[in-house]
Amino acid sequence: MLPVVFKVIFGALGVLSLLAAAVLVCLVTATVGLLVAYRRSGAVAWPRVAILGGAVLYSPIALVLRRLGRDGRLLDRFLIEAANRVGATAFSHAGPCRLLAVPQCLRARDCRARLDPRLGYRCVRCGKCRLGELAERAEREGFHFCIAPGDGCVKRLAKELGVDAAIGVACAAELSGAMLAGLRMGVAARGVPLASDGCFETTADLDLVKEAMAQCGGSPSR
Amino acid sequence: MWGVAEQIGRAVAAAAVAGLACVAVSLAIAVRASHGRSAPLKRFSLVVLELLYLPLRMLWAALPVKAPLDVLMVTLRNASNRGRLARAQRGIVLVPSCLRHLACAAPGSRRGIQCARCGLCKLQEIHEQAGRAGWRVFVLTGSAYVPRLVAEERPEAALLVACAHECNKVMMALGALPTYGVPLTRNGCVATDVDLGQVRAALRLCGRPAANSGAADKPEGTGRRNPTVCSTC
Repeated sequence: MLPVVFKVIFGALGVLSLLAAAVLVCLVTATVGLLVAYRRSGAVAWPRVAILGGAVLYSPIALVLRRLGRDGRLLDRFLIEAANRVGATAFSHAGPCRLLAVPQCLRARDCRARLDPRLGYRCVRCGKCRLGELAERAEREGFHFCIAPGDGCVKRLAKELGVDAAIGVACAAELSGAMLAGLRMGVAARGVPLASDGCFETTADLDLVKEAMAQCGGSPSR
Repeated sequence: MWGVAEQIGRAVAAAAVAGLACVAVSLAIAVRASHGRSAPLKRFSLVVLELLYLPLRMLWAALPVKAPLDVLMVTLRNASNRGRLARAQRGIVLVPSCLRHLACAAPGSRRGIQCARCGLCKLQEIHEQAGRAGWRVFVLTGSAYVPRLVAEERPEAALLVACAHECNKVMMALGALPTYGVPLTRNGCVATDVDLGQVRAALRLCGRPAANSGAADKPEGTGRRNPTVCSTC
């Protein structure tokens, strides 16, 4: 026979477990519902719930999507869209120090840009890809421009510059994690997932990037 | 009603104790394996650590622990896969492009960077070592190459050189394929470094095919060399 105190502890634990299970069921239902709605409309209704559900249930949802033969990028794009919506106000009122980070895989296959250990690839604006055009626009809009060889370079540069806002262009899988980290760290961020990924000769909708630059608030950093 | 709650509470408490015990045992096995000692239940430990990877990683970040969780998991998987790696006759070596010299201008391709083996960085040495084992080397700019290369090459095993996090991530993603990871000694996506001794030791474990060792890791396509980088090779 258990002492009464243990009975009370186990009983309380049971009640708490039932409550936690109920909360989890609600979270799963809400997240799946929001994900289905996002797939249909491309919009995330409750972005904070979506981020909580997506972050907590990322692995099981990704597993189910894979098993169902669905595009695994759907969940990442959903999280990016939710993070963009949550950070929209902060982004439009961000301070003057801003960073636009794009992946090196957007470069042309015969790109001759040199790698700077601090700033990433230094675009020579040869016109073989559209990054030169984007670099010029970024300069005009007062953004630091970084063609990143990897996420470590972006993190280092963002920390060094003390950026107020950042626009990240990357494949959905990398970008969703970075956006969630940005939200945790309080960086006003906007994510633009690549239109086609694969780490080589990738493409992005540069109009979306330009639109994001135009929406970023504050005065220019240069 | 309270009786039902009590029963549920007991079940939850028992499950929590069992779960914590599994995690503790798995971590103990991983630490033992990381010190090079023999350890039982390596596959079981890997399954437990993989299942709880995300929460464990968050917990790990809050703890004053020296060895990163990713490094522990990589060494545990290495210990677990050692035998399967030795039996593999056809394998691939995946190395990150950040190991290249800053001045390297080797062009990219659908199958990674086309290394000219100019000798400016450690990739030449890795190419030579892998060539002796008959394994193909791919210099990759991102992990999205990996599933494509594995589908095209159909290797029996893969040796991965990458930062510990990427290494562990790719090893988990590759699942059933026997993998062996060598974490970088300096991370940061630019001018990174690896212990060539560890790469050599890993390649010594690999099976040695007789047929394709000579042509194993020739550069793909035109194999164009960059005269600004290398004038001797």
